[in-house]
Amino acid sequence: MRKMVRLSAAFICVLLLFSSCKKKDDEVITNVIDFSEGVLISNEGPFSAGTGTISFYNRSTNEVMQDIFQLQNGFPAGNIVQSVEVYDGKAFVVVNNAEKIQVVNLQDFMYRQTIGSLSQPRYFMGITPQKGYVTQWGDGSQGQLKVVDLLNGNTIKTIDIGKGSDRMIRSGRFVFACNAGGFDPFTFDPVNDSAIAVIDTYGDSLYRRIQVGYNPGGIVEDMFGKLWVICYGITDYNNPGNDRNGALVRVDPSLLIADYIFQFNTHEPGMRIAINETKYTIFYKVSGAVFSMNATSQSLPSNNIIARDFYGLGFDPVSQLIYGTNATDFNSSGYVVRYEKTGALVDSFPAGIIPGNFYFIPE
Amino acid sequence: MHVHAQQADTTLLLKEVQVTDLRMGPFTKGIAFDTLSGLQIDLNSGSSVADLLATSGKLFVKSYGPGSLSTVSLNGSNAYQTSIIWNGFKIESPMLGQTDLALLPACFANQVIIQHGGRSDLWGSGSVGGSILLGNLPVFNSGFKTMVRSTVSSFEDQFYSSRFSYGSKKIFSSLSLFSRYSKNDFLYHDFFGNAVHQENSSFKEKGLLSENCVLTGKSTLLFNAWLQKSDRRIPPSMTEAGSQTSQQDGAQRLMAAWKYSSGSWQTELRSGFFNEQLIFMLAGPDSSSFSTFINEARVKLVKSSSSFLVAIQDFYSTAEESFYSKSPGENTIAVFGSYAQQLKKIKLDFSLNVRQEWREGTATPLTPSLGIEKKFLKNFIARLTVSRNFRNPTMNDRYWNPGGNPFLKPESGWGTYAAVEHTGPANSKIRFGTTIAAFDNRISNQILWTPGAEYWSAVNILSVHSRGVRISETVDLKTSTLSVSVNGTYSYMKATNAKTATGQSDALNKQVIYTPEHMGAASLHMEYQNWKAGCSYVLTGERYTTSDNLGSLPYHALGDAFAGYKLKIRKLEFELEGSVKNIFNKNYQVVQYRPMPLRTYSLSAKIQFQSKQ
Repeated sequence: MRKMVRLSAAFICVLLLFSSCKKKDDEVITNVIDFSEGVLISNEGPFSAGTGTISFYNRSTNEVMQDIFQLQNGFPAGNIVQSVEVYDGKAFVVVNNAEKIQVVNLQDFMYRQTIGSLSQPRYFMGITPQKGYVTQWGDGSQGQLKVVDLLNGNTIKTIDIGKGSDRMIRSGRFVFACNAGGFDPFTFDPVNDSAIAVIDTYGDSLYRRIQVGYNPGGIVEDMFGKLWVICYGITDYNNPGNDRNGALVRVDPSLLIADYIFQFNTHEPGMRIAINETKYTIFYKVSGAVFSMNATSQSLPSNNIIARDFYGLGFDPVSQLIYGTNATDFNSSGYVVRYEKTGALVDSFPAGIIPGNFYFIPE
Repeated sequence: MHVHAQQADTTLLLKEVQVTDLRMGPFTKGIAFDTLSGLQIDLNSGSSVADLLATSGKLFVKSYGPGSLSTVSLNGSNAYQTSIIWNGFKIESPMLGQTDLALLPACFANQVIIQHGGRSDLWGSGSVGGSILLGNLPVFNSGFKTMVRSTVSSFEDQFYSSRFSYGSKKIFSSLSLFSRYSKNDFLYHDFFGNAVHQENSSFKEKGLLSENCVLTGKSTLLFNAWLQKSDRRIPPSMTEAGSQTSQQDGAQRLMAAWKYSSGSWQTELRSGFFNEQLIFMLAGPDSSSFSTFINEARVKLVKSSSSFLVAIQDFYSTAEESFYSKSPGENTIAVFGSYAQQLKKIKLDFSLNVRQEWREGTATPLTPSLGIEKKFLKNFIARLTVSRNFRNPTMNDRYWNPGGNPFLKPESGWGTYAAVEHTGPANSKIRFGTTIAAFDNRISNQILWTPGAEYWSAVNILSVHSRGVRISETVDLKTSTLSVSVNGTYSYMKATNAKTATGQSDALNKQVIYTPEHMGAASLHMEYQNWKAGCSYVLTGERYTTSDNLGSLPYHALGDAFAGYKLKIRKLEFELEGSVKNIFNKNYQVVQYRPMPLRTYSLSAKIQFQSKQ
């Protein structure tokens, strides 16, 4: 009798294994949801070996859907989704560490094609339905602009434009690309970074560099056609003697020079800039707070409108709200927090892991 | 004292004066030890300690892939909170606070013991969840032995080892060498279910182990040297573009001990020197290295029913790392005292230990412990340990620039581990062994790297509460020709964040990531005359990949099987062994998006010459 009890004890252990486990459901649902109006949020995903995701916020129903790329396609986008851009009825998901852009239909987010042969890509801009630009950091020593064929996904041309080539904006015939310093925004290289690269879209060539502040990272256009560039400054952890303050720099896109510099009294690599729906009010994030400034101001504001730090910052011209992102511990789901232009808190909703950038689909 | 040496069917008696007694005799009463069998070590001898522990199913091994970084999680703790002890010396890196178990070859230890429950009183900083004890026990009276072994496994994995040893009544000396190369382009399923080859995953390693022990009238002299070199290519995760990364590791581990016994007094002097180098190749080579020098003096008094031990230790570590704000040289002094008492009338033994460390002149938490062992009824033993444990911040935590904080406090907390064991009838053909254990561990000031405005920095912020139960059952059947061993283990572990950093409340009371709640294993080993065979089934429960527990990896169950034949011709012994891992060809991941191999095969041939029978 005792022997039976003992023998069955050995098997009980095995039985306990099975009874205590839950099987994970794995379904790919092809939803009839339409993603063509709303806000896309790009979530970087955990740094080591995870995947980035895309969240979708529906302005009319106030509902948010997580991980729509994986949901619609059955496979993850890849490691570090840096940004998402919409052009010509398609969404371009820039996957930085998977070194590709996943191209999907905007409407159903189903996969169409891959743009590959990229090296640490950051942002995408559609130029014509046949041609697009991609900024990439390359191996870190020199950033590039890649001209890609949107029909077959191949590279047409690669141009060296500066270290840490990052966000871009188009004004007329030119595209203005920030060179934010890349992997080490610590050193100042007057040739390779701290300048805006001016690219001529007619010939896909580097037309000129415009010297701005140290390590420009974000750029917006105001109602007067001027460009505003936020510059991180230099932060050298090994040698604080090399530190330099950042700045907000105004660029004239016809004269191709910087015509106004607002110096910050601080430097940090995570500054952000956005502009409101009338393109008159500039919002920027610096020193753990969000500030608001008019395009005609002669000086920087002394008071902030939101006393809180965010990882990403954007402005939705449709709902006329400021969007900030909270990445919590960078290892679990973050949040999007929304504010009025005055800085009054509106609401928040969950996003993916490390939400960083937005695309506000116009209505 | 009985010991299972590398040959599972040989038991040799060793002297009372146990040379490298990993269990430290009466001073470790109350600790639940789980010894891996010689057969298990032998089956994994072509592989690493990481694989040995993973296939045992006794704890969770967080592995990034075969041959890749592997660390252990014992009793809900993390990799920094489990100590790896080699012959009584901690070998973890002072820079990282952990050891990569994939770099420790299983063939270099003939004793592997899992010590459950933190015992910072014994081992100092880092022993919070428990420890893995690796030992090289000398085998006296073994004569001349020569062993040559070759193991070939799937995906061009070739392992060669040889061992020359001599054991007389008073001398034991052995030299072990091994080399291994693996192309490691194993098959796994991609996102679309296609079987594809892993890339950039090859590795090669070689090593040497010299064990030497001399017994004179009253003294024991011990000297072991372990040299090793590894070169590994680091594969990409499934979500990355590709990888050109590789890493070279070098380790030189030397230890010497002299023990002198006179009557009931015993004095021991021990020294260890541990040197490791790491070169990481991404864009260019990134080198780091450390050296640790350990010296210890122990005095022991063993009377009829009470024992006393006093020890003083000195640890000196230096490190080179380009990202450090300074080149650290750290000195730690520790004093340890223990009083062990046997209360024979009530069959209760206990030991009261206390340890105090000073790191660079600053005192770390006092760590007392109480261990109780009681025999009751006929064959029952109850063990209880209550101890205070701590873990110092690593050099990376303190000196990394940016973000390191030299003023970080140690993590500390109290842990309790209790176990009840029953061993079946001693002289019958069938023996049963049952263990039921439970533990509760609380750690506060746990160090976490948290993001700030400009960069991440290390802070003492977390509190973690781990608790759980473990059930283990063994049935052994032994006749003159047949021996069968059936084993089943199940453990339940709840490790939750009792306190989190501000703004991270989603992680509050959630299970710590990569800590499965359920783990279990069942195994069967049989030996009949010259044949042996067996199989095992290890189940790893669901584990969370994000601190808010919204992301997780499903449970996976892996089956292994092996069969072998041994042929003895006079003084020569030939052994042929085949094994299959992941018999059911399951596609699984231990760490998310890090592929693990589908089914693999292995064939091993061993020739052994023994001058004595």
